[in-house]
Amino acid sequence: MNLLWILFLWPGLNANPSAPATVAPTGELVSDLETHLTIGFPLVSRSLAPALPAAICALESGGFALLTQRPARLRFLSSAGALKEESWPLPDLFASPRGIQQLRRGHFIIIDRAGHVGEIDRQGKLVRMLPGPEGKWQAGALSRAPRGVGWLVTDLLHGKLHHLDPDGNVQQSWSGFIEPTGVCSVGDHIWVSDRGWHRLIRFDPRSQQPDPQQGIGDHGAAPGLLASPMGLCAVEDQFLWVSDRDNHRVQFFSGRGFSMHQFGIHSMLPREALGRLHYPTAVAYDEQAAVAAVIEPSERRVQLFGVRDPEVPVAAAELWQRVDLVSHYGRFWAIQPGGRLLVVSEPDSERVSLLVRDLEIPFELDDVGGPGAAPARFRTPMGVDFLPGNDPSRWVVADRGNQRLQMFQVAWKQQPPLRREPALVQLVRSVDMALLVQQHSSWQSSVPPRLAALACGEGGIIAVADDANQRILLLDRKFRPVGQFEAAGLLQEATAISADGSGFLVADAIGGSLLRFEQGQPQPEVIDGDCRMPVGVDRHPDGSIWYTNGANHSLLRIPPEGGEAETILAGGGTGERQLFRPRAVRIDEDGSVWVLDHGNHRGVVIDQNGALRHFGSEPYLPDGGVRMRQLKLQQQKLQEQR
Amino acid sequence: MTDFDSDNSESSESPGCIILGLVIFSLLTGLLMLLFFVGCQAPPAAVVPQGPGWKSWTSADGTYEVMLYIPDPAPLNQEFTAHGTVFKDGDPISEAVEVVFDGGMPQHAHGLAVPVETIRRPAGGFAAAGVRFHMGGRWLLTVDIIEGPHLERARGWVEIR
Repeated sequence: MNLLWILFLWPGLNANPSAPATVAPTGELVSDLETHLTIGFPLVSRSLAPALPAAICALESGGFALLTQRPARLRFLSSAGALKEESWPLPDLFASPRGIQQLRRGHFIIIDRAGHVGEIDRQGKLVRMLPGPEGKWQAGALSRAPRGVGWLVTDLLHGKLHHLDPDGNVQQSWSGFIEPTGVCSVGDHIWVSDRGWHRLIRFDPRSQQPDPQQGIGDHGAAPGLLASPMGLCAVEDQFLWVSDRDNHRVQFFSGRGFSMHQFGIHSMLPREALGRLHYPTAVAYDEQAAVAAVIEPSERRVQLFGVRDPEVPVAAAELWQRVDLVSHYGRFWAIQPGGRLLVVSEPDSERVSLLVRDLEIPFELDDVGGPGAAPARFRTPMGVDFLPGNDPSRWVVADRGNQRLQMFQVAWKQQPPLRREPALVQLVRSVDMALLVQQHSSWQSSVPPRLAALACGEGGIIAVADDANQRILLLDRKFRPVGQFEAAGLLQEATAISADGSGFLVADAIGGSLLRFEQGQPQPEVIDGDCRMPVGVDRHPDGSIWYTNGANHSLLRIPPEGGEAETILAGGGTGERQLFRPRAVRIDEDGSVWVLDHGNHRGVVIDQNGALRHFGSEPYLPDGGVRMRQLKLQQQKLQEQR
Repeated sequence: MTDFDSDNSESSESPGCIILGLVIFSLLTGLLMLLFFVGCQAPPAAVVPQGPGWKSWTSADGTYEVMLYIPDPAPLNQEFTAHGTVFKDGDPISEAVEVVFDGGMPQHAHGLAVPVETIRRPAGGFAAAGVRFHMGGRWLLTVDIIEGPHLERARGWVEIR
């Protein structure tokens, strides 16, 4: 009953003169809205492992169609949670699907990360290719255009949105986005979710240009705020669901931009489902069945949510409470060679953390960042590494959304007691890489740089991956251009880079290879051309090469003399010798190996003697962590005393 | 009875008028010579301001010297203009270089209550009007110097009581 009152009061509460007029609520709409606002009851969780769910859409006949990656397949899921056993392989060009929409004749329009648009039938067979935007682009999301006339696709390389006609020809384009990760149409308006702005950008394509400054939301965890908004899904052409990825929830917004409802909360236990979400990237909604399907690539699963009994109170843990977007151990970290410091890139909170690493639980001295474009802030911090031979210690961060590099230093006196010191970290310098690329003739490209992995080598040479142009840019300590590495056909994406003497080791997850680049050499040395999905790499002082494999959650070692890689850690889990979606690996001068176990929100250290140490999020530690051990010891002592 | 006025009037056509003309001519010639020499000389060496309220910082990578003035003692909750000069290799920075002054209290996770705009002044100068420290304590002041794609930061602490 309260929901009915909220509904009728809503237009008055949300009075916004610039907002479009909405349809007066009818009895049917009241009933439907009441239903939407009670979605959140966990129905079922379906694992797709080892495949990653990549895109989902609701079917007109009910249920859902979803696309997976590795392997790229089309699958069907009923609203009751039955996952059809048959799955159909996608055409070869669609190895990394990013969006799916159903056509009236039962076929589907799909897009691929590499910029392909095509029509497939229900068995995944290619019916026709559609032209799509010209030139190089990277598909981010797909949706129906307003009034169902054609399609909307986002381009992550150029920060653009394109309106395609039903045959895939570009009709209109809009720019000004940083990272348009989701799109949908609600009424006559287009909505774009932008991971760079952490906002929903709404505009009327007939009369307006998208203006991110007027976007809805901002970075944060309170209702209505967003942290990496991703996939969008229109509801009744009046509302929309938003995958609020880094808040581990799904939010329901009105057509006027007000957050009305949400469900999901970060998993408390590893791999936990039952209503807990972990980095949801897309949502689809079966309106007839009132079932929302949410895909979570990080957990390789899809969860279905239905209507809650409104008379049953929601469990306290699922109600919103102030949540800081704290350390999650992002994809990149760096250790101070021979020193005590560790820096961790934290895209969830748009920060970089500085820790003292030679403690059982590393201690956070300070962090730097916050969302935004001002100096020392970040929009998706990526690769990070210490500059060799600097006092005070300096490190460089690739700030992807702002297209810049930033260098920081810390003049930390290694004196006890350890204490957190705000502003201990100082910004030294930054460089606008988009502008630098324009100014430097041999770097010029048609696509702006998209920075990712980074490493600092001998002589202070900084190597940063430019994923948009399949190359690695080289700069000196003052951020002046000194060269670049390119290898057509060999280098597809420098997923991880590490310094290796006078050269650099590169892990290419897309190409499935390990390469070694050296300045002055035209082609890289191929260390391993068939290692599936290497996502982290470094050289051990004994000459061996260690790399993490994202495809099977493992850490491997290639002996100094070469040959077959030896598996050191493996298996997707939280066990002592397991990893889950590992990323960076860094090896200290003393031979200790530091593995960033990203999917487990923890770090794993293998010391010179092979002993293992874990730190990070306690539920993800093998035995619950130090505090849990201490608690158990205390309990044992108490029992003995009694 | 002496008619001074008429005397004076008569004297205007006397040799005294010629002397006055010569004096004016000499002065004008001297002024022209002075301007000529000044014009031919190199710009004067940058004057490094000193005294109460002036702070001298080196940017984090040592590229720039920043002379910053804020009143000493800096006032609490009153607006003032922070201004200064930036030098590079001993010379004032060019007009094309952008300078951005800002401040904040990291311990309290806030910046200036009202953001300020920094304008450039000639000879490497800059000024930010409307700076107000709205709270007592340690403030971290920053000066960002932006040349093309490159930004370098100078910073320092002030204690506001």
